[in-house]
Amino acid sequence: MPIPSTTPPPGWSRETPAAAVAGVAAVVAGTFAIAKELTSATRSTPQVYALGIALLGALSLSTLAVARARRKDAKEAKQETPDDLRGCLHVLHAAVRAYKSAENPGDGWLRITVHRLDGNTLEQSVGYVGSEDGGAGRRFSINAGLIGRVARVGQVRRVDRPADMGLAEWLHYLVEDGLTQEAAETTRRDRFAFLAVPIQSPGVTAVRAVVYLDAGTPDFFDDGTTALVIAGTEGLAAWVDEHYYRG
Amino acid sequence: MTSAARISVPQAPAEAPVPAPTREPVERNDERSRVVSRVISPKGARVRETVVILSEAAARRLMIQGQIPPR
Repeated sequence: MPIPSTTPPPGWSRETPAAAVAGVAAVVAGTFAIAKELTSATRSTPQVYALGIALLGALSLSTLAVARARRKDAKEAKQETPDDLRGCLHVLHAAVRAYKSAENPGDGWLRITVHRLDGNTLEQSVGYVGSEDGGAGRRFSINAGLIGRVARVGQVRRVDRPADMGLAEWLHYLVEDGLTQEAAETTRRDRFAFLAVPIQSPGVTAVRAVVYLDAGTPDFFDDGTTALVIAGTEGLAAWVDEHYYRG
Repeated sequence: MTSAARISVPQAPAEAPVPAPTREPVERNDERSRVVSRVISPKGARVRETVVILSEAAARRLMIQGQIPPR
């Protein structure tokens, strides 16, 4: 399956509820049969014993079926959440921090997240790593902003906002770049450097996901840092391939 | 002309409209990266957008090789 949505599938679609219902039905039916036999005028003791043994068998099989269904559901649930991607992003964040010798950078020094392509929108798969800003589940048009452009053209791109560029000018640029005025105004205002790396499928130009990074320091993504981020994203792409597409 | 007509009420200066940013052509083009455009903001500040050119091997490593398995 592709990178899953941030919205988990409904509980009823799992196997455990179905197995539990089947088990309860079998036990109720068996109990009812025994009760009927016990209250019957022509009660047959061997038949009651046979029904009792059958009931115990049904109970055991139902318990086993529920246990197996739960194990299978747990395995599928693990594949149906994008949260595992945060592990890769933490590694990438730590690698950049070490590369830049930043001992204890504050919140938002570097933010990293992943957006998965879903039709004509990009869904932020996980909350930002490197910040408490969250954001998982937000949706953006592929016709707007840096991530939209990278999703459309499949190129690694970085954007640098000059240190002396005021907020009004910056918001004006974002709107010119396709964001709505409202969306532009809700962006974090202390961002100066941006980088987006696409993850694609071979043979087609379909971008599957975009790794997005931004930083509060102008010109943060120099050539060395960019190369490091691209190498880290290669590792993330390998994980996505192994975990979601081949798992 | 009446005296009232001579009174001039000071007007607040109209806010100048913010001119739209303009784009400059390619500025730099080396082996690893290429600047595709620089957006010149109304006050002359420049937003630089750079395309990073990947090696063939790096581009391949950024690709998902597996297909979506049937469910």
